[in-house]
Amino acid sequence: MIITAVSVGILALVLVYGVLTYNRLVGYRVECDNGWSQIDVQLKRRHDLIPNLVETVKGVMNFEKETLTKVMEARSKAMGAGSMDRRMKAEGEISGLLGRLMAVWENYPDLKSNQNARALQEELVTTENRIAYSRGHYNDVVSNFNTLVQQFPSNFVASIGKFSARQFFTVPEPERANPQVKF
Amino acid sequence: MLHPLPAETVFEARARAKRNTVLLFALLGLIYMGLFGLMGSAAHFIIASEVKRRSVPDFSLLVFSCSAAAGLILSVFQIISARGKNLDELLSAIQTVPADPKDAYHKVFLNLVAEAEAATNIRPIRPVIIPSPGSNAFSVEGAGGQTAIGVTEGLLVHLNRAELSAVLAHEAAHLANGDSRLMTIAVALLQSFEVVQNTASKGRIRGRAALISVVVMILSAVGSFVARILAMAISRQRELVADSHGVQMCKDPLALAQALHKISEGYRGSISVPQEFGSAFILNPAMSAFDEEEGILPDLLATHPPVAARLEGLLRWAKAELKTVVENTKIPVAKIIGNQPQAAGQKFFVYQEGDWKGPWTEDQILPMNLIKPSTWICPEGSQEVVQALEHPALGRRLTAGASDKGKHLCPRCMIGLGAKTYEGANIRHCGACGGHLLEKGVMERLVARRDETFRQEAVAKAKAWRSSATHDLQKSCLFPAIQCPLCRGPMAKVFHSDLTAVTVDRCVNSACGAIWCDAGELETIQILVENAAG
Repeated sequence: MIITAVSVGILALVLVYGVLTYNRLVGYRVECDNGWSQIDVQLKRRHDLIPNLVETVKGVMNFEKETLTKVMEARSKAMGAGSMDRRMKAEGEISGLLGRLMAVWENYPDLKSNQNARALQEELVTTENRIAYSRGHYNDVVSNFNTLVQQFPSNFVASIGKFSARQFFTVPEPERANPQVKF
Repeated sequence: MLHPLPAETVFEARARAKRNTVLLFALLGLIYMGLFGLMGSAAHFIIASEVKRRSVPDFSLLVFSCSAAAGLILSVFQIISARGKNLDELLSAIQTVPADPKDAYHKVFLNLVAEAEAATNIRPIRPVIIPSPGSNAFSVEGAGGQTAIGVTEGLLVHLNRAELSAVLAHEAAHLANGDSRLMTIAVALLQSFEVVQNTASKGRIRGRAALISVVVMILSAVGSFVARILAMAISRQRELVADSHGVQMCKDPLALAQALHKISEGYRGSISVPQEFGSAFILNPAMSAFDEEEGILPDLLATHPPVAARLEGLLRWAKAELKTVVENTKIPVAKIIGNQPQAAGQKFFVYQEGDWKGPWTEDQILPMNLIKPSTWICPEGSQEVVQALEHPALGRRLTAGASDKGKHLCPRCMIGLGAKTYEGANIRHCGACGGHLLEKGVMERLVARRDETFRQEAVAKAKAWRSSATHDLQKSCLFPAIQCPLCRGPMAKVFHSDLTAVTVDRCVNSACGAIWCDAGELETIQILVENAAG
């Protein structure tokens, strides 16, 4: 009699724990999806800025014509990419090329006196920062999710509910190499 | 408890400050319930001592717990009523205005707030401005989780982009950790004691009731003193959490150190905010000498840790020394909107009164009243003398008012006003008489900003004005009264301030608040304020 009561009690506790943990996992997973879409928002913002950038500096940055063409190509690649891998590779290329452009910005005094160019430079700086921050936030929420998925005893609930650990946003290899700046 | 421990990393500092917060709240809660319990027990003791019956069971423990529970319920009411304040009420208590996306400085601020939203995933954060030339920043949270971050006009002028980013990271960290709500709870507990103290001190009662009310008053006075000390300790720990969390987000402890140094050395603004908002700011605007000191009183009652202690931790994380900070903050700031070159663009010589004067740029000439469409000019570097109207750029600027459709009209000349960007703000300008129209709030920004350097003649003229100015409003200005171009209401002649004694026309309608400066008045005001400030 007592044994049945105790085992029913234990079973109830286990079930409650299971439901609570399952809901936590769902919550974290939705946060990961949200984090990913936030990165997407910032990347799209950059896509919209690039044509404006190229137009503004085209006449002035005479030595960077090649870089400017490559930026437009990488942008079309990113916007039309099929798989996530290819998309991220194209976005990495854009970051590298824009980095090079911003590094040589100081060499063109005509840009410094142009109000539009200054506003555009600020927009580029803030876009790169926003992309970096949203990636950082994404990694933080993925970290929370992965911890819950892998820790004991929530890993049981995770495998029953088919939650699997997600990948962190890592920098693809070419972007890690410092951009070569030739003068 | 206050100072970061030696060799502590950013993460350890943050975790330790969080643990301290929990301990302090637990202590506060215990003392709170204990004191209320004591009040109840004291009342019970005083009443019961008059009634000595052996057969009455001992209620003391029950009385104690009931009074403690009553205190708890009172605090819940306080907390609910405090949290009921919505964001608009809170912001109007601090007297903020919305940021202007067309202003170059505000645009950078708006971008930085968007970056904070990306870093913390708190959306939306309302960006607001305090129109004060002092330097400070704050963050608040209102009912329903609405958040806002605000800065003063002065802060946008004195800090560079990296420093501003670090300050906003600190404020965003406050929002991410819910510090506004925590402090509301701590202050609510403090206020419960004050409520009890007030009710107990009212009314004339005699005998036992008077004794009870005296005891209750003493206990609640003790309670509010202790609760204040604990609430301030909690506030200081949250500042340390925000410092370390902010550094984790922006990854630039040196920038935050430089920003704190600049703000603490400079003028924090005569921001008159209600006392409970002190902890919402990055440095308390009310107490400036207080948080530099070390000693018993600041240790107990300051809302923020002493700046020296905060810098110590930040500099250790930055692996830098204080002298680096001091040196870096002395060099002229790289403005957040980018340093504009001194005289941008083509300069011109102007033929005036039988002589060639100048050379000056377009932006310098137009306000000067030297130039009319028929004036002869010679662009620097060429020998060609033309009439101003014939020169493509100048001619365009001079006839800018010619098509008046849809434009606001100059109140003196009744021709269209042209738009101009001056020191990052959008103002309107009359090509004929050289007057400027400033919208509400813009004058404060221009007075704080130091982008323009003024010619020697203008400075001399301004000083001469100052020494000869009469303080009689009617006599000092010969122009008749004018109508506001924006809202068509009347404008009144006012002194800009006692310091400058320059008369400007200000729109009587306070919602519109537009200011009209005749030729040279804006320049004079800026020169006089700059020279006074040093």
